[in-house]
Amino acid sequence: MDYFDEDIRLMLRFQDGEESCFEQLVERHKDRVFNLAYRFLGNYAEAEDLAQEIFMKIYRAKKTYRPKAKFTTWLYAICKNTCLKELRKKKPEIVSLHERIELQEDTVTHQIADSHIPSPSVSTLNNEQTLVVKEAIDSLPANQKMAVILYRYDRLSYEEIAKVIGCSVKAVKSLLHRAKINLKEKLADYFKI
Amino acid sequence: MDCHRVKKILVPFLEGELSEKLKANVQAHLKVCVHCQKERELLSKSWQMLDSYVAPKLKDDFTPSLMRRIHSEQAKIIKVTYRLPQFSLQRLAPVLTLMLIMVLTFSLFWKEQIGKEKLAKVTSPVSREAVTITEAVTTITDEEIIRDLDIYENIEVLENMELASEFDIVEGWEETTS
Repeated sequence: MDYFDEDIRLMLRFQDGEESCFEQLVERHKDRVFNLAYRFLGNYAEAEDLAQEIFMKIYRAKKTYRPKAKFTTWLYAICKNTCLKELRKKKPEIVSLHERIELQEDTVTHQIADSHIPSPSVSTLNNEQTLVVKEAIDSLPANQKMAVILYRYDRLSYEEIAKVIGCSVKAVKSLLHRAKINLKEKLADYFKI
Repeated sequence: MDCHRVKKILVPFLEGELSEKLKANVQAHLKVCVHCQKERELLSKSWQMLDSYVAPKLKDDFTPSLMRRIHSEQAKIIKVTYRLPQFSLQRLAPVLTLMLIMVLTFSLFWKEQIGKEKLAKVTSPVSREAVTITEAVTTITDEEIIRDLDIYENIEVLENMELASEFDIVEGWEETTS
């Protein structure tokens, strides 16, 4: 294990009692964790609450943490477990097909520049397009949704996703394959317009 | 290569995961099949369209708010640990009640048992005599003692009187004979 990984060093220092190191870890990863939670749950307040819950789990793991894997892999695994648990808790909501789904007030206006994704200019950002994509992603089964988020938005490799989800690389490829076909079918109508 | 086969491997084709031979076959098919070209375009566009789904900016007070939540949770844990003995006593209340009931039942049973033992002693012949003596002793009063003493004294007086009379008779006979 790479003990020179800054995150691991911070976590070990936090274990030794330096609470400020935990705050540094939060600052380094809060956007990553929140973005994942938001894309998975599709709700700002829930995603913020879940992101806090994830960091609280890391705080509670202070005594038990062992640097066996890359810190981010461990972090993503906690995110995945917490998100899936939250999804199971939520009862399926019945939404009318004619009901207009409203985005959070600051969803589009306060865009965050994701380092890996080519940031679209505000002028080309289409509220409707965002809604359509959001709905398409939300309609995916939980494991496909998680695989897409990790691969497409967090730019994790197949191997890393396999470690996070706890399956084989082949299974990850299969999940992504099915997700792409499902997304194509969900978004096909949008391109016909 | 037919459309069905191409559709199946279109995703790995776009990901660049096919072998050179297979890749060449798919490319050859796509050149002549409009339907599969459309399919490829849809796949690419829908995947690219995901870029538009950008998460909103997280609030600036996220970290301070998180730290407040953590400290509040820790304070709760300390509070719960401190209140633990009270909690145990509350849990012990039914046990203590049960123990009290058991002690009361046992004492009642014990009392009854002692009563039975006493009765058994009273009904036995040896103890009955002892009991009557004890009862006589315990029930006798001072008046009765005095009365009994008077009776005994009177009896003694009477006996003495008899002796005296006998003595008088003897004296009277001696006088007459002399």
